[in-house]
Amino acid sequence: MKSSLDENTFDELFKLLEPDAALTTESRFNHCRRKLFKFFVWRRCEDPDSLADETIVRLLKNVDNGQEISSDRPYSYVYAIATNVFHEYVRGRKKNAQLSAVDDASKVVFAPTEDGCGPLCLKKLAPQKRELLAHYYLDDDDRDQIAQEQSSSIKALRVKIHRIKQELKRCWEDCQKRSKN
Amino acid sequence: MKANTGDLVTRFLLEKLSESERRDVEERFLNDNEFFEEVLSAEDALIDQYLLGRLSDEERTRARMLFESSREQRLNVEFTKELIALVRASGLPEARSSSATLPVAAGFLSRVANVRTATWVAVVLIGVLLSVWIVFLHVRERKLETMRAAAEQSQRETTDKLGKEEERNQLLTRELETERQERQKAEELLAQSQSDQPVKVTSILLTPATFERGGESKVVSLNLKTERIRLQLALGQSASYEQYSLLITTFGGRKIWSSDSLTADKIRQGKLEVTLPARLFGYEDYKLELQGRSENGAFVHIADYAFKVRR
Repeated sequence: MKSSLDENTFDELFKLLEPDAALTTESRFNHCRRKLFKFFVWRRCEDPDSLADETIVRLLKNVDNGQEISSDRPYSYVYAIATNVFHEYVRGRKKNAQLSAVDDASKVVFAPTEDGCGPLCLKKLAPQKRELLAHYYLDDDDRDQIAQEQSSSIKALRVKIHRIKQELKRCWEDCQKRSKN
Repeated sequence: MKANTGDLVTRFLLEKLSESERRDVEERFLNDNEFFEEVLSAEDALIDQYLLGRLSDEERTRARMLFESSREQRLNVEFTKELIALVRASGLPEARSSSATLPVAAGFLSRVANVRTATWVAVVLIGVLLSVWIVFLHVRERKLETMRAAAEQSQRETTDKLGKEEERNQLLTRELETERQERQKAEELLAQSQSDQPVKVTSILLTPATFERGGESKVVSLNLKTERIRLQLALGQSASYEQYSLLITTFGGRKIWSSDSLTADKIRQGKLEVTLPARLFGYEDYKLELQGRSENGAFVHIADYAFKVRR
């Protein structure tokens, strides 16, 4: 998504927001969008996609109009825009929006799907990652204990698990796409 | 796993923070990529706790609001649900979850865990067996060592005993020899004391001997008053004859005296007695040859004797 901003300004804006030298402009943009997306998710917004896009559109518009972004905390301005968007969303939200059905945790019955992608992707994981996943989900050990065994903090353990799940998720999605094709 | 919902990020996700605290967290994850990932991982962990039933009622309600809020959240929950089911379906032996329904199937995770467990059990078992074997060998070695020491001790004792026995034997032999010599002297003294002859007769008890010049022969000391010498020839176990022959010569071969008609009545207490003039004997070594006359008339050799005369 780009506004009427020239390409150079666009690049410079996202370079400022996501200064990681390894990123391309596109990945910087996606990273920024993801953050905004999660911002709205964690604010319990039903349509975080649209709200994130709206925030970026306003950002680009304001920058185009000469708004300067501080290099110290470049997201402070973005945060301000996002907050405004959120407030507008809340005001416009339907009061009696129905919640989609998510299984009540107490009635959860686990059953894997039959497409075979799950086992395939699990198998592709490195053995240590598989073992950690099994230990994390199957044992009754406290997370503190698991973290200690891994010689890491709970925070680091959560990040490890999160990354493993992200890896599996990407594999799973790719697999499902290929099987549909 | 217990739910640790007390940390800042988890409270943020459950909307338990104040407005200012939430603002700080939001600004921080927007500006700090590392912190952003931390919040994402905390959200993942919260989904896990939610699906595994490890949240309190209040927390579960708050979490449900979060996970139902958007399509992506619902997809995230579904994905995690499938993942947990998949991990459980692999049939790992260490699964101790409280969840009621656990489909059991041999999956690759269980195979990995089983092989590891079996390997560890085998290693431990081998270690235990080796330890038992080492202990057994050690005990046996000590036993053998004890037996060897006992055998050595026994051998030393036996050697000592043998040595002592030998010493005792030698002592007895010496005592026997001494006893014999003393007995002989006593007999000589007795022979001398029993004689009716005046001091002028000297008796000498002779036993069979080998002729070795310079060897040990009886010594007779004769004085001027000695007129006669009584020779007492011990016959020992030799056969008895009716008639005896005696030849006395010097070692140089000079004949001193002889007789071949000595009768058996001259035998007293196992000794043949011959009394001869003392003048026949000078300062010389003499040898005697005793023969006995056999039934066919021939003389057979009985024994040789020797003595020395010193005046």
